[in-house]
Amino acid sequence: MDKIKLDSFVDVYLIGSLSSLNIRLDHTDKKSVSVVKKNIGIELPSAQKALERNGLTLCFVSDDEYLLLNEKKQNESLLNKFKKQMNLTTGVAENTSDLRVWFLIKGDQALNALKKGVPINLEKLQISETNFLRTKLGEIQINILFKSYNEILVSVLRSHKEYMIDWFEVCTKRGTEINFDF
Amino acid sequence: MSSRLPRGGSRVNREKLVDFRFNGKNLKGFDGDTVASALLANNELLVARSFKYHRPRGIFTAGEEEPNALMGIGEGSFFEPNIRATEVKIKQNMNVNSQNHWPSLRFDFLSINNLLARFFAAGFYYKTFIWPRAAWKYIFEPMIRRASGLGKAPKEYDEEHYEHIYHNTDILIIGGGLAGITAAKALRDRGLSVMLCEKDSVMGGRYLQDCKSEDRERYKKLYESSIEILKKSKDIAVKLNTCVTGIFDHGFVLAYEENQGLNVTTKKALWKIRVKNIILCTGAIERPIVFPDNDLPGIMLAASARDYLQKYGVLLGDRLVLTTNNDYAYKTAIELKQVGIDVPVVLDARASSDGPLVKEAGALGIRILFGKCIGKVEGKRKVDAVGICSVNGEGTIEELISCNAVAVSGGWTPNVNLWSHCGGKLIWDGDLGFYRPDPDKTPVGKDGETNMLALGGCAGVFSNYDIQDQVPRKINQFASRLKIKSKRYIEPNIFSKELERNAPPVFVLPYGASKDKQKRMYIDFQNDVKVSDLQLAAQEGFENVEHAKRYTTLGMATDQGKTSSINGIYVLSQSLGKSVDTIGHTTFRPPYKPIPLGLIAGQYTKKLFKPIKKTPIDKWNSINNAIWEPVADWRRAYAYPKVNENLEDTLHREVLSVRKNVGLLDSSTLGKIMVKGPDAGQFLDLIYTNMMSSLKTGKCRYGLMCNEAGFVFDDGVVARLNEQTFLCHTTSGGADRVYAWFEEWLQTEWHHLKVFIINLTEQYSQIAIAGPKAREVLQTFKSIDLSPDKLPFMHFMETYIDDIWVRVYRISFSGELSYELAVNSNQAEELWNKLLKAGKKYKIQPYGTEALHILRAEKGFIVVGDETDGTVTPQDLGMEWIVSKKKNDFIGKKAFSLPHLNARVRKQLVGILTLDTDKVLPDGCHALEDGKAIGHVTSTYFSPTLKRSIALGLIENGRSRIGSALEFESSSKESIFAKLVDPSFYDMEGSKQNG
Repeated sequence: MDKIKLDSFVDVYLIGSLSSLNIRLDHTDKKSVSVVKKNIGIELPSAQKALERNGLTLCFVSDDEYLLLNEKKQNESLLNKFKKQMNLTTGVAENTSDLRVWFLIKGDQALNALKKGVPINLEKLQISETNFLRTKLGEIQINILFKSYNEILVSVLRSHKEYMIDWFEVCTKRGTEINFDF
Repeated sequence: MSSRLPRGGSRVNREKLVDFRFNGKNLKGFDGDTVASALLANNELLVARSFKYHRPRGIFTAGEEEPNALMGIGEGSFFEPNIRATEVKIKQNMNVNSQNHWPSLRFDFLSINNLLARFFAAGFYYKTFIWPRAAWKYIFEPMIRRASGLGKAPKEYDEEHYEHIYHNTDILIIGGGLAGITAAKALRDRGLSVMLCEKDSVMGGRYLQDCKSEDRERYKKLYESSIEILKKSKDIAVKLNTCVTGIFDHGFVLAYEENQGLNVTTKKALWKIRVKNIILCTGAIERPIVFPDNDLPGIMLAASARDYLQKYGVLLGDRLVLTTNNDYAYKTAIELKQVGIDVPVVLDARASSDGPLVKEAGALGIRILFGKCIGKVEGKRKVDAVGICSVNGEGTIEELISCNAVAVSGGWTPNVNLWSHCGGKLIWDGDLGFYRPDPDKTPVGKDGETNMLALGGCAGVFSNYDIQDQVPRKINQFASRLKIKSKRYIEPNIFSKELERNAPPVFVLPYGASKDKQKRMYIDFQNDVKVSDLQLAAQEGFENVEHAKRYTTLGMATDQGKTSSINGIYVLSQSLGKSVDTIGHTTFRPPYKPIPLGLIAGQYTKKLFKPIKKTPIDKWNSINNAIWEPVADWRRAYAYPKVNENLEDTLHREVLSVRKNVGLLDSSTLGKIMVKGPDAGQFLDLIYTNMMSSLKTGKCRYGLMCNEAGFVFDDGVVARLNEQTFLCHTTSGGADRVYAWFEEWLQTEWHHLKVFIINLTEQYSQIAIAGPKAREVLQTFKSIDLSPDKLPFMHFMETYIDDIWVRVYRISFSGELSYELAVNSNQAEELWNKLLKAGKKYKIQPYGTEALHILRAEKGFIVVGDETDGTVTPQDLGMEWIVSKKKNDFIGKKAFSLPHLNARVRKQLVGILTLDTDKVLPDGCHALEDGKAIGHVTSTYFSPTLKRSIALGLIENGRSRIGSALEFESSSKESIFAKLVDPSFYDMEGSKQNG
């Protein structure tokens, strides 16, 4: 994880790829759902949420799509096993680790930095739970995984990596913090 | 003359001098001065010329309603035209220039228009420049365009910092005056998030500023305690210097933050706010009385004259006449008198008044004349004297009073623009002479419920006592209606009951003004709209207020009629003999005040202007001198020119490298969509025109997709990975579109199919290795056996190159022996480098998209978007072979039986060979028959392989014309003759790609 050199009011790190699977399944299909629960021990999360266990994070993408992240890359074998079992159901799990690049935004103004591009309501987040938002930042698609108010993971398509770095450079420039007068 | 007092001015720091330039003249102001206050302090009364007649104009207001003092401010990359001098603070070395004059502000050549004003009445342009017809385009329009316009557009790139900010809040309070502050206090601790936007740099509006001296301490205490409460409240966020400029459907609000506190640049942000409910506390704008010669420099709204005194210690003049119809305006006369300014007379249009302010003015020795008004103003570029007349007469001058400033007040108009933006209706208050929000016809939110509440001045409630009395009550009712945490808010009313600002309306004086005077009575200062213009509009049948507005340009200037609208409506109603309420009002539209165009773009300029997608091999391409081509959102290597090599030579080299040796192409941008499930084959049979369910595992098949109308939509190779899994390749620009297309059909029509799809476009990168030596290059990696029987054409295999997993497709888009290698994107560059290294002894060369296009055109392969344009069928392309006759149904099938898709005159794809082999047809040029266009060229190149020009084209009934010659028209109208041939120019039997 490299800190990106920016004159910024937040710290931005380039994580690169995170080991991940995209899972598509019919959430009313018990067989598919049970494969998920059995193998990773995580229930399907509700909308805009993510659930974590043993270094794995299952994120809600849509009613029939989930993103399984393995941030620590310790569970590759588990992921492979899980992928094989999912493929035996009518669902599908596919390796999408190379599809995205991830950034970590750190600092008191991390949430405010995102407010310069993300139209979704960030005021109402319950950071006590893990929030996962699939939204846009300016003109590009973005996923946001909230660790806390001060630590936010962001992913974009790998083709937008440089655009995202440029965005951080322009939009988090020191002196452009979002402030209320009181 | 205007000047600055030796002390005073709550907004300026007299310790800090600021140098600035006005029209090249070096001037000084204080830190905190606006351009307007600094100009007045330097006795610069003439600051502008009007739009039409180029009449001399001075500063008329102290806020965003300013119609006259528009300036070009800044220099170079920070220059901005049409800025209201009343809103911008001066900065060290700021360059300020007046606009719309030549050669100078004082001696403006086009002020000749003023002398010809009698000919330039409303509708002058429409009536005059009719004949001769051709003169409009070549003489009149260029001449008028040159003469018109205010500021000049900047010539340099705007380097100002703009940005967009998203914010969500439960309640937005717009305006931080007494009503806004009280509303915010009443809404705290109710479990709601509240945002308050105040356009000024301080809260409080007018209530503290306009209070009597004996009340000041009490009011100040209230103000300070209120601000303290707001600061302590966790629910309330206050944003100063932020003007709400528009309210749209479903509680979407735009606000313009202009923080001028920064020394070098000004931070400008567009806030995009989503709100559930809005409390409108936008106050009111003072309305002028229209009188003859009322547009001269030195005439100003009464409250604004007071603002300059209180905030900046600046005097409009040293001998000021006040003309008014209300007690409240007397504050100006009183305050000026108290600082030693001569106020020779107050002209009050009313018959009498015994209000406390009137008495106070009288006690100060100010002469008050009731029933009187101004009948004329003397002076050329500034006020020298006013003539007093009776309000009821024609304007016969009874007395001439020498003065150099006039303050005017005709009462106050509620600031209702924002209420109207999203559908709130207005009602006419005939007693007070203004439109105010109709509480029964409010704007509504997404659920159809009222989502806006107007309080204070903008609701027509002006007295501080009434505001303090009304706001807590209304907020409590509002909270109760919304069923939010009900905590009855009570606040003791510290104000005394007063009705100072309410007065019977007066719009135009004298009431019986002669025709001559009416032609000198200005309603809209910026656009030079006079009383006589509106009367003419009415006379000529423009009875609808919207028509009259457009005919006269009333309210169409940058101030959007803030000081002129009501007076204009009144004059129109009088001219038509109707009451104002039957006339109605013009539509208020966002933005409330002009915003810079740069603000709309926000941060999305320069490198953020357009998101450009880059492939994993982009860095290598960049280092190796690639020139770029945009392909949908991607940038792709167009070609790789070597040093001192021209583009033509580059393309020839790259093409021949593929034909003779081997070439390497970054084709990572191809769309890759995985389709999986027991019904995947059935689904793809419905999507593609040809059969996919019969495809064997390990094999590939080229497929064509059509839309419901039977027109080609996308194409690509489909690979069957296993019984239930297909990987569909799409065009580079089509990946997202095709993915959405698949989802739409799955979710709407074929939801019974057990199929899931995943877009893997960026998971895999793809590298094409093409040319007769491609197999040899790949076989240098020991692990691969690519012999034709192991991997025949249109088959794929999964293997490793060294330790890199790859899926090798034996497919070709060049007509040569070719392999496409899919690899996990993180290893794409590594694989690319390995292939280059392995291919070195085979003279491998990277080739770009243009060489790719030449190669495929030589072979006669189509490109969706080149050979197709949304109206081309597979049959038009000569691809009947790909339309299944066995399948019961697929998208587009029904359309193929329609008569017009089988008509003989449809354009069909053919090859085109120019008779002059060196002559390359222009792309898109028309094929002519008897002078009539019967088709066009879709792709055209000079073929390095065939050493001649080749082209593909869509020609009416083209296949039956094969062998004949046609005329093609070049852009220089030169005729080029070419022969129509089969579209495949190279290796028709396919021995090279199949070998």
